[in-house]
Parts: sequence; C-alpha cells; structure tokens
Amino acid sequence: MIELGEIAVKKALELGADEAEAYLIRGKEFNVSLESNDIKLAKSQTRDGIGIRVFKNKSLGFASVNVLSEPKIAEAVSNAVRLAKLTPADKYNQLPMPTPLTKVEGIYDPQAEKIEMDFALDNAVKMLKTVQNFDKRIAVDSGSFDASVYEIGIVNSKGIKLSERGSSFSYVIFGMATDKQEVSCFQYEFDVTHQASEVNVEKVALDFAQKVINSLGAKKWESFKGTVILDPEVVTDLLSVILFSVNANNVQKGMSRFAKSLNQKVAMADLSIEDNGLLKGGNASGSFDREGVARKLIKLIDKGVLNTFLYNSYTANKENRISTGHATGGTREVPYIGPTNLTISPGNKTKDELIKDVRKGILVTRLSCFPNPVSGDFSGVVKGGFRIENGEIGKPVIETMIAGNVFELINQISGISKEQKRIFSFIVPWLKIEDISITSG
Amino acid sequence: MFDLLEPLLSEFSGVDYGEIRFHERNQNAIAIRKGELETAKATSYSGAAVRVLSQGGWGFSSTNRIERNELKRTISDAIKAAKVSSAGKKSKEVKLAKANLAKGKFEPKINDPLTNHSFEEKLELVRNTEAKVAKASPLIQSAYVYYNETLDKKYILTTDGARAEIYDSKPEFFILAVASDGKDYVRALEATGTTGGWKDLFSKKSPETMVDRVVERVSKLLKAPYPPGERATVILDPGLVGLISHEAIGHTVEADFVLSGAITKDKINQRVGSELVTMFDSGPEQNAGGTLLVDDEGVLTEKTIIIENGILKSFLHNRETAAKMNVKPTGNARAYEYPDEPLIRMRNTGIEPGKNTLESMIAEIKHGYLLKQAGGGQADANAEFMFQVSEAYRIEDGKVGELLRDVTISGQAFDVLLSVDALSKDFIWDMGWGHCGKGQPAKVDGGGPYLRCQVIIGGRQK
Repeated sequence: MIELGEIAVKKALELGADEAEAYLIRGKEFNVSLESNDIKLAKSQTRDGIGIRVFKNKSLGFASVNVLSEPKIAEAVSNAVRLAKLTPADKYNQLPMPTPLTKVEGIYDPQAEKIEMDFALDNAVKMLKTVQNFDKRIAVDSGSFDASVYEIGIVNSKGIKLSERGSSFSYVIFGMATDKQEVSCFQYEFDVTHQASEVNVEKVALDFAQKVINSLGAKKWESFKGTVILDPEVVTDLLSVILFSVNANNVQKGMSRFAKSLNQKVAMADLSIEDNGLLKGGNASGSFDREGVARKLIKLIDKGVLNTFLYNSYTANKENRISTGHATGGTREVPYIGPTNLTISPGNKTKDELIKDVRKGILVTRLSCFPNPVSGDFSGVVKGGFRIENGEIGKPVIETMIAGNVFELINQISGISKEQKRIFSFIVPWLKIEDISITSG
Repeated sequence: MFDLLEPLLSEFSGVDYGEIRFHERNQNAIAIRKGELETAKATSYSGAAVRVLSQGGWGFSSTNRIERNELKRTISDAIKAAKVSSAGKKSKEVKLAKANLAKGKFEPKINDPLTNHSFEEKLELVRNTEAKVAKASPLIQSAYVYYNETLDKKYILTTDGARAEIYDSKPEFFILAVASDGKDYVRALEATGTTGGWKDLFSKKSPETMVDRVVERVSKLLKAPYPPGERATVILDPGLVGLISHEAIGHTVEADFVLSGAITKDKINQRVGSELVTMFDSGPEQNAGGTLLVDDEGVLTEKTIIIENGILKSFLHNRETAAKMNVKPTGNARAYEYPDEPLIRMRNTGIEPGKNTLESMIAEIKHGYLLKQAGGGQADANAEFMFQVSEAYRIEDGKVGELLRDVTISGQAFDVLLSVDALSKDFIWDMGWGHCGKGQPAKVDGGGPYLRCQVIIGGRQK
C-alpha cells in the first residue's frame, strides 16, 4: 500500500507541487446489525481511500479518491495540484519532517485477520438474547456488531514513510422498554476494543438492559437550582467545549475562550486532564498522527492550570514550535486537530459517597444536548435522570432540563469519583457539580 | 453502465430479491477562516453495493472496483452474507411490498448548474464573504465561511424491475461569526442549502443578507441575557417548524421505530395534534435540501401525508415495513453512500401553512417567546424531543422584545402538537443545510409556516 503513496507523492512533484503528502487507508469489515428485536442484515466489505495534500508556492490543494488504482490516484493528484495553483498562499503551509516514534502497543490483534461473518453473527445474536432474557419489556430498536482490520499509511515529500495496522471490534445496542401504555426514553450502551479476547457483548447487553428498565416510571419533578451528579457519558459530552477551546486552530483564529489562558488557572485544582495518543490498547491510539508526526502523552490541564494547546503542523508552524501530534482526519479531508485518548484524573470519593452528600439534586446518566463550544453555554434534556433527595436515589425524571456554562462548571466541581468509565477513547469519572439550573416542564 | 450491470442480475438466481446500486459522489469544498484558507478540496467516492434477500435474511456487500468479475464476487459475498443473516434470524417471513418502481432517467430541476461556475468564482465568493463579516464590527474575532457541493450519479437495478439512472446536485453555504468583548465569547450561524443549481442556492437568501443577519445577531448576543427556564407559549419560525416536524414527530413515525414499539404504534387514525396541523414528508419537492426523486430501493418517492388535520394517517416506510403493515411503500429507504445499506429516513418534512399572519400571532401573546434559527435536535422513543434555538426573543404584551442567549427547547411531541393554536400563511423550506444522523448521515430539509405552540425552555433558574 505504501508504494501507492510513494507513487502519488512522486506524481505530485512531477506536476509541479513543491511538497506533497499521501494518506492511505485499506480496511476489511464484517458487520451484523439488529433491528426491531431481530437480526437485520449481514455485511462484508472492503474500504480503501487515499487523500492527497499538496503545496505549490505555499498554496494548498487537496483531493481524494476511494479507488486505489494508479490511474485514479493520478487523477486525484492532478486535481490537488490544479487546486493548489488557484488558492491563496500561506507561509505556514509546510509539511512536517520525520520525527522519532514510539511504537504503540495493543492496537492490532492478528487473530482479527482470521475472523469470518459467523463471529459477528454469534456476537450480535448473543447481545440480543442477553437483553431479551433479562426482561421481556425491553425492545431492541437497533444495534450492531462490527469486526474490522485496517492498515493506514502516510508518505510525504519530506521523508515521512509510515504504516501501521489496527483491528477493531465495536458493538452497540439501542432501544427502549414498553410497560402497558408507557414507553421509556431511548437508552444505549456500546464498547470498542482492538482485541478479540476483550470482546464482552454480555456486559454491554446487561448494562443496557438495566439502564432501560431503570428508566421506566419516569415522572416530572420540580424546577430548582441544585446539585447534579454527571455520569461519565454526560461529562464526555460537555468536554467537547474544553476540547474546542484547547484546539490551537480555534485559539489562533479567535474562537477560543482559552486564547489568553495558557499557564493560568481555568478550573478547580482538583481537575487534571491528560491526552495520551500512545495509551496501550487505547481506542484512539496510534504511533503517529494523520500527518505522520509522533503521538505522545500531554498534560492538558494540570491541577486546574491550562498547560498547552493541541497542535498539528500548520498551527505549530505559526508559533514556530513543533506539532504535539494531534493532526487527525480521514482520507477525504484536509488534516485538522483532535484529541486522542483523554483521561480525567479520578478523585478520592466513591460515586456512592458523592451521591450520599446530596441534599436535593439529580443524577444525570444521559443528557440530550449540543453544548455551544464558543460560549460554553449548554442546556439539555435529562434522559435517564434520577431524583436525589437526602442522599438517596429516587424515581426517574422526565421533561426535565438542566442548563449552565461549561467554563463555569469546571469551577463548580464539588466532587470527583474514584471510579472511571471508558467512553470510546475517553476515560472519565463521575462529577458532582453545584448550583445548576434544573427546569421541570 | 446498464450494459455492465444488467446482465449481472442473472447472478441472483436462487435468492428472493437482489439489488445493485452504483453510486458515484463528487464533492468540492472551500473553507476560509479568519482570512486563511483551511480547505480547498475535490473528493471522489464511488462504488457499487449489492443487497440480497434470501430466506428472510438480508445480506450486503460492496466494492469500489467496477468491473464484471469483481461485481460477480460482490454479489456472491452478499448472497453468503444473506445466508448467515437468515441463519441467525427468528422471523424468516420477510416480504417486499409491491412498489411504484423507477424506470428511466431522473434529475431534479436545476437552475444554473454548479459546474457552470468555476472553482475560482466559488473561492472568490467565500473569500469576499469572510472578509465582509470580519470587517463588519470590531467585536468580531473570527469569521468562518464554508461552501460545499455534492454531485451524485446513481444507477439502481433490482431483480423485480427497477432500472433507474439518477442525478443529484446539492450545494450548501455557511457563515459562522464569533464575537467577544474580551471576556465572553458568542457565535452566530447563517446557512442555506438546497437541491439544485447556483441560482437555487441563493434564491431564499443572498450571501449579503446572510452577512447582515449574522453580523447583527452576533454583536447583539454579547449583551443578551439568559432566558429563564419555564414552560411557555412560543412562535417557531419555518426552520424550527421543520425541525420540530423532523425531530418531534418524524422520527417516531419511521416504520422501523414503530415496529420496535415507538409510542405511535397504535395511533393511526387517532388524534395526535390540533386540527390545524397537517404534516407531510415529501421526496419530489423543488428547491429543498432533502429532495429525493427515487429512493435507494428504486422506489419512486411521493408526498406522504403523516398527519391530516391532527389525525395520524401514515408512517414512513421501506418495502419491507410496508409489506409488514400491509400498506404502500412511501419511498423513504435511503443510503448515504455506496457502502451503506438503505435505512428508513425522512426527506423534506414540514407542516402546511394556515391562515394567520405572523403579526397577529405575536400581538395575541401576553408573555412568550419568538424563536428562530434551528440548530441541532434529537428525538426519543417516548416522543420527548429537544432542539436548539439560536435566536430567541422575548414577547411581552404583544410586542417582540430583546434578543436572548441561545437555548434548548423540549417537550412531549404530541402535547406540543395539541397545543398548536395558530399557523401563518407562509411556507419556507429552511433547514436544507442540515444533516440527519441515524447511524448514517442523510441530507434532509424541514419547513413550514410560523407556528404558535407551548414548549419547555431550558433556561436558567434564579
């Protein structure tokens, strides 16, 4: 595969590009999906792609194609060069040089190469049956089990030439419960792993089933300002605001509230967040980023102090520093900036201890919400939320909304749990937050 | 292409149904932020998908290599997959309803094809627009302008007679502005998207109008207070009426959700809204973002009346769910790109206009809100929906007051529909820049008149 990348780069230079980069992916997947309490469809396919980025007189051009044949690649290269001749120059357009890499472990399971459709079917059936045996009131609306292997490669005219293999098993289940006239809210549960031996569909199915049953019997409550305990999944949703604000491109382009906050306290001293692209077996792990720059461990927020922003080559060039290895994106887009495996450090109380101290509040296990990454404002509908009164978890709530501001919220944390949960590539504890607006319809 | 694909239909012998869909997608995009080019790209994504039904099991496979032997191998993989799927299935009774299958060439109405306009011209528009926003006010920290065009070519063939050649053209244009007073940061977005050509894209609002609106709003937002959290009477603009039709009702009437046990399952021919409400989902609309002439099962699309004068009339179907419920398919089976299987998805969803004027609807409100500018939204099995409102104004004693910070709105869909007490005479598709996500993305639109109803506002408590 890497040879095709070399051909693309060579071709681009022949056509007049000053610098060129080819990013390639080749993958194979088996997938079995569920719908309306039954198997829906079985799917087997391969997926390829190449994305070509060129600079000509410091001007950008990008093209991609999903067919890895020499004529198709040549056509994409010539499209990229054509665009680069038309776009405005930018002196920071410069591809990265090779850097020493640390090989990440645990992202490829050779067993995955031998997997067939039956493996996906067996797991999908097991997931469905586990739920159906748990409680007849649960309806599985949809779900899937996916097994895939892939290889990514990156070649550039500055001497980067890298490839890496990976494997992935991901499974999700989604549905609701029906009890007489009542229909609960949707719930879902999922997991992803690189290792076939770590696949555990029963656990996901049981967690899902328990969540769905718990959400039956939801009632309206009342409007007040109080304490909320946020499930790791909800914390992950709100974290998007922080991630937007530490993205160096948003910082440099005047969209981040953290623009002038580097080395300053932005959150309570209890809050530490790190990003580790080299985490063993991490779902976002890789030895190198989308530009071929080494991944590494970064302390993003250390005891409440903002330590660094996340950079790709372009934003690093602007500040005359080196990229932190956070270029991301597929073959169909110009590389941008994104986090890898993110960890919020655990606290010193258990989740139950956090709940015990709440006089009046809500435990939020899912929040239907699109936080505004610029202002930090959020208001969302509590799904699968529960009353907490005098330290006891009570009835589930419905037609309840919470609102606040993420930048304020990270300064209103009154507790962080010892326990952490893995949500895709994020490892996150439960958070207890004070003074949140709760509105009941 | 038919010459290559048609003879392959014989490879489906021994199975109940086979479908070949070739889909070539070309996308071109330009993005400029704070005076710097972030994206200038041309992408091509093409291949053929095969779907097979055999003994109640669906199998699917796809390939990016369009040549005879590879396609034959793909068909054989899909047949194998169907057998695996059948083996794991409880219910082996799967039938496909008779449908109005598409035969021939299909293309939406296009005013001034996008290919008539050069990359340089599009780049110039994005550049000038960004520069105008950036210069408009010292409070503006950053502007982001994005143009994207999606050009599709499809061939769909089925073993029971669909034989369609389909073309599509969907452009989109976005402006985002961020303002700050040094401490607080706010954003405003204006966007438009449609099916058609260059003239269609800017037929509802010109780039100049979009610049003026975004600049005015982002500057005001810095001083805007938070709305209180309460249940209140509100007027929704056409884009939000589209969003409520899509999120609150549309998803709950997708037949796959219905069969799983959504709250609508026993509600056909029952009252679900006020008698003012007639809601539909339509494929063959002109100048709307979700326009679809033929669905990805090769079925000709139609205008499907979901709710008529407040009574639930129809769900949205593919051929399999239509057969299960013994009705006609509605042409709602859609696949995003070639390696995706068709799912039941909406197209352009809206509410028919009424007889009121916006002015009289506002004048009658003692305390409430005028809500504009749709953002994201989500639906739920119990019909509890949420969506974002980017532009909210107070209404006190029949007069529109100050702008408030953006807010999320929620409610129980059928309670909200029952609370509808006025609709304006207007009709606009105004959600065409949006995507719906349900495992796969889909281009959809939503629209309607101005509508008055009751919702919960997720604001601040004192």
